[in-house]
Amino acid sequence: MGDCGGGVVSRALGWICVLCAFAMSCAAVPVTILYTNDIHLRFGRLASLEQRIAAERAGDVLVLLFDAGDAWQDFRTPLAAVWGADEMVAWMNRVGYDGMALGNHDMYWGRRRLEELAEEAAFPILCANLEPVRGQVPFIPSMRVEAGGISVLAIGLITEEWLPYSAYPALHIIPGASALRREIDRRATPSDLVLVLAHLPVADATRIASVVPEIDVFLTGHSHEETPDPVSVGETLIVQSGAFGERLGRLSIDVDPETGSHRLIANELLATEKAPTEIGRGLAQLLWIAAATAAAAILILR
Amino acid sequence: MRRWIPWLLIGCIGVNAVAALPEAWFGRASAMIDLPPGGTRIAVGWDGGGPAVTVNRPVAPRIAGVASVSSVTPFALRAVFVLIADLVPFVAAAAVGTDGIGMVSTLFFGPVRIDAGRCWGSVPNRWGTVQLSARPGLSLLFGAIEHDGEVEPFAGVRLFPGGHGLWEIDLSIGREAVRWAIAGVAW
Repeated sequence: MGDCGGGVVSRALGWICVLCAFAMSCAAVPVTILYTNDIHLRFGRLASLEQRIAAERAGDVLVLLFDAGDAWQDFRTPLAAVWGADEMVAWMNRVGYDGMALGNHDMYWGRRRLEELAEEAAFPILCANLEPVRGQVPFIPSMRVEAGGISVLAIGLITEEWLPYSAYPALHIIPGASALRREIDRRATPSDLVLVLAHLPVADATRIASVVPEIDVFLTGHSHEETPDPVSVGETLIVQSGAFGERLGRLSIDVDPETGSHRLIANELLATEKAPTEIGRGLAQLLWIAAATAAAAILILR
Repeated sequence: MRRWIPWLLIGCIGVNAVAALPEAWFGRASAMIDLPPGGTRIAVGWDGGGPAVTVNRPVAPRIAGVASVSSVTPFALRAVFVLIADLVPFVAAAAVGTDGIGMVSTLFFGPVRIDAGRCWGSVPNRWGTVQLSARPGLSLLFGAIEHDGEVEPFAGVRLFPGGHGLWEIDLSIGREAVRWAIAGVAW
């Protein structure tokens, strides 16, 4: 008799658990986060990336698209580098990026040109750990996306490595963890999902995540790493999609707006195809630069 | 910060001696105007031959005014015009001043930049520097200046105690002299 009663209780508890799980899964909002980083003006990959992004958006799941920096510049591709930044911004506008972290290479255009590019961008440029001592800057520390019934806070971070400090005298870099803490505290309304678009290596993101546990997802860059399996630090997921647009990262998570918790469903790095690119456009500009440099050198040396 | 400007200007007027292109020693002669609008940069130091003061202020996105006092030119006023700004990484500027005319070109590669220039006038000279600024508090500078057929190589360091470029201490060591400057930006 006693055994029979215990069986009923355990079955009832089992059903309660199943119902609770069902209720939780009903409350959870599925979110797909598409991410790129360090595209570095590799135009040959853009058509394939665009197809992948369009295919992901064809479903009925909330899709967010972010870049973790270094999209607009690369000296290793001089023919693209001299004209490509505007084209890159136009492409990112067309495919509908929600936001982008400022990368160190994106600053190599100089202050004036960076301001022009940020003006052209239809999405915010994010960077919380470079703060202006004086004057205006063409980026903001964080943004909020309200979509699909959830509120997403996205915060930008940039690496301290290889920043062109001399060209930006009025900028002051602060530690990434302090910048995140300040930004999270500044936002009075709680967010269902806290994303960090970090132009930082995975190892740096790991260190920061260990002291700022409120971060749900770190989309990283700079180090050109691939993370087929997200790196987990507590509840924080850290991912990176390699470089040069060779992969589109797709992170699928369930976000529970009631509890603010998230659950990893899947992370994939989707391969893209490389198409031939027209390099002739950059040739004329490059020749102008070479001619101007040679003229200046002759004027100074002769 | 504004309170010390009159004292610096008084000091500037009181100084009798000046250098050919003191900005070169301070690593500031660049074709790029990187100061935010409204800022005035004042550098006070020793150019090897005597005290030197340089005041630099952008007056438009492509125009800056420079006043300098050094051990070579008693007083010079210059207007710097950025002529080529759309061929990044190459930027070029021309200077017209009371001490002559000059040109400066910059190849800007982010943390590495190469600046070179020439001045025709009362004290003709030409110079070139390579600057590495990969850390928040420190830039390294290597270069050479040529004057009267003499070429003097030098190496320098720019220290930014505040972690930004609004305050700095510059030191350069050449074959003939040690030069230094303290610079700040006022609004």
